[in-house]
Amino acid sequence: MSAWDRYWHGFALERPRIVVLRVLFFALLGLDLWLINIEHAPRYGAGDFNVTQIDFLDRLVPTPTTAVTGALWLIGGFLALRAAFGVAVRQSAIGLVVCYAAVYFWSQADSYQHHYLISLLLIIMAFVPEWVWRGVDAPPPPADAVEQPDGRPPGYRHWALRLIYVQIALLYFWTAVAKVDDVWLAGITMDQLTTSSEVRALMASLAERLGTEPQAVYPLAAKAVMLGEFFAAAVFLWRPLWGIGLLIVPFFHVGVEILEFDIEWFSYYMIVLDVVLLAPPRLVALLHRGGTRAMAPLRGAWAALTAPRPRSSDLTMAYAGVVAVVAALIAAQVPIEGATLTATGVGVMALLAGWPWPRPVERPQLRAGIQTLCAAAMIATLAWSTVPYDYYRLWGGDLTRRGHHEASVEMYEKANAVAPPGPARELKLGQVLQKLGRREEAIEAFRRAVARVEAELPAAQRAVHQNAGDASVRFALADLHFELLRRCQALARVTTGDERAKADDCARAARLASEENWTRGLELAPRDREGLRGLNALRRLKN
Amino acid sequence: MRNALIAGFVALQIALPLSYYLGDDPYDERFAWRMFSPVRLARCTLQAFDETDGVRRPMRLGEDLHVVWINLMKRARRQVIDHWAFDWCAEQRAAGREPVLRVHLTCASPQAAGLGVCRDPGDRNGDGVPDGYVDHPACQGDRAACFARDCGELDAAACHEARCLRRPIAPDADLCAGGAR
Repeated sequence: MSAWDRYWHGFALERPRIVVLRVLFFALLGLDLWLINIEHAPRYGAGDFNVTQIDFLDRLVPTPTTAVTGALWLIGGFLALRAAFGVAVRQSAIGLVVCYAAVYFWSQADSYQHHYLISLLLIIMAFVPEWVWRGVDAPPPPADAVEQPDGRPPGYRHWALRLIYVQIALLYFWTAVAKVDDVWLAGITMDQLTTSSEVRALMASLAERLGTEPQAVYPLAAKAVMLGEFFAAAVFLWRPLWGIGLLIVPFFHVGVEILEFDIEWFSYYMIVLDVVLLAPPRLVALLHRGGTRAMAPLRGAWAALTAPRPRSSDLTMAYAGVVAVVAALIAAQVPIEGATLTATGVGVMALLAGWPWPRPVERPQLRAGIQTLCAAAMIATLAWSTVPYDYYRLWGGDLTRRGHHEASVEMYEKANAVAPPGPARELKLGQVLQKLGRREEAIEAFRRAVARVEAELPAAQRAVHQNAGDASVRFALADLHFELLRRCQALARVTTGDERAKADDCARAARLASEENWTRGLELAPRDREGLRGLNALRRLKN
Repeated sequence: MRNALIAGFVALQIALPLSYYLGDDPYDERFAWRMFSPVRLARCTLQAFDETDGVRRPMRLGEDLHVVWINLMKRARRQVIDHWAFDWCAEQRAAGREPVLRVHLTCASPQAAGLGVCRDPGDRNGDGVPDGYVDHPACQGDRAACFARDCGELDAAACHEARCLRRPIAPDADLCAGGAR
């Protein structure tokens, strides 16, 4: 066997590691799509403008739309979650290349580099055969692709598994190269990136422990990060380094989270990939056993669900059809645009997963149960989160900025209909209605805006009484009074007589209460940036 | 076939990032894995002007474009600027006008954060050295020596213009006459 063949085609991963990777990576991806991506969908096609990630695509593809983008991400989340559970994993990975990677390359509106990484990993995973993933009804592996070490789980050989490691190595290598730069190595970038007072205090205490000046910590940390990233690249290329890599590499990403950089879930993906791909076989086996034991209480039901029940092709196809319809009907309940497309996509993919071709389906009931659960999880996730509210309020905000006031009213109304407790977008709605000359509706919106904030005040005040020494609860109360001030001012401007007088009194009282709480909070935390910003904003707000 | 796929994929993942370092656009860091780079923090100011009929009219990009595109233009993403300019110019021509479009895009150079003269070229303390060198992380020793190292014979204003700022688009270029794609 040549060195190339040994490196690429002789590389094996233990079955438990593959299963843990499948569960954690795809589950994280599914939740990411539903909880984070969806609210960005209104960017796509806004103003009928789009630029693709690759030049020539501009001439080939239409402008994306909010509904299509949102639907593709919802379907992608369904595929990811069912892949985590082991249903039609390769088919799901291929589907995700369309739902995720294709959307990424479709528009530069997505500029997150980890989305590029996930796109590449999904493209690689689309080449991983079903037998590698060990999912439901996975066919047995070819004999020449299996390593069977004594007393240990079997390992499966496939070049795409190696390519996952190499891709991650290249990521670390190039990000280290980017840091071979005078500005980075002088610690200036890291200094600029750490803005929160708690983090700066942490760096100062680290400097004290190292016996150096606070400003000297940044160059040291910057050099350490660069060297660490070069080391991380080597780790992912050479198996003997995995153990020591596990002790170092994931902590970069833990550090990024501590430093509060806004990079969505990039760190979580990297921590999952680093831990799962680098962990010693025993730790992976422990994770794998833990997951299996968690299912133990359901063992009886699980045995019934997982028992092979081969049926005729006709019956299997009918079963698949029923599951497709049920999953589609559930998916059609999504509370955002593109419900029909989402339902169609989910239904088609559920049908394909249950189809008795090219392989027989031996556990149709398990596939059906899992896919129904995934469709239900999609609806539940959206219902229990603020995603639909954020989706519509961001859409409304963009339409307002671009002067499409009638359309923004529609979006704000949809946002307010699903808003969690708190200020919502009633004030914005009122302001837009005012611009449109719809005065009575604006007044109603401002009244609702005031009522929503007033409803939150008792709990915020209780929090202050219960945590007298906590500056953050003071700031939260100050901010709530500030929001009340703005809403009472808005109401006062459009009403007359007693209602106007009441709104003016409300605004005065809210201003005083806001100033008092910002000031009290700053007495507890004198240099807190949130407190200083809040007090300045209050003082800038005219009467 | 598998080996060709592997080799092609790896080659692409080497070539794409390499093309950034061999290319001439420091602001487009896509596909180069440049996370937390100094370039990402470099700020640009952007102003667009409709100078059709010889009258300069500032344009409010926010009236047509989602803020995500404006932010990309402010990161000197040339592809986005060119695409928008192409669309705008085509729209104007379709309306029977002969459009003239100019964009003033002024960015901090990627190395600006490392130069004291870029942080503050002023000299309020009158010591002949820009005040940006006071407590600058990249200047541990004599501030005058740091200034001389960074600017040579140039005075602070000229050095600031030459080393701290970049204008990826010539201010007098008409993007409707070949400045756009």
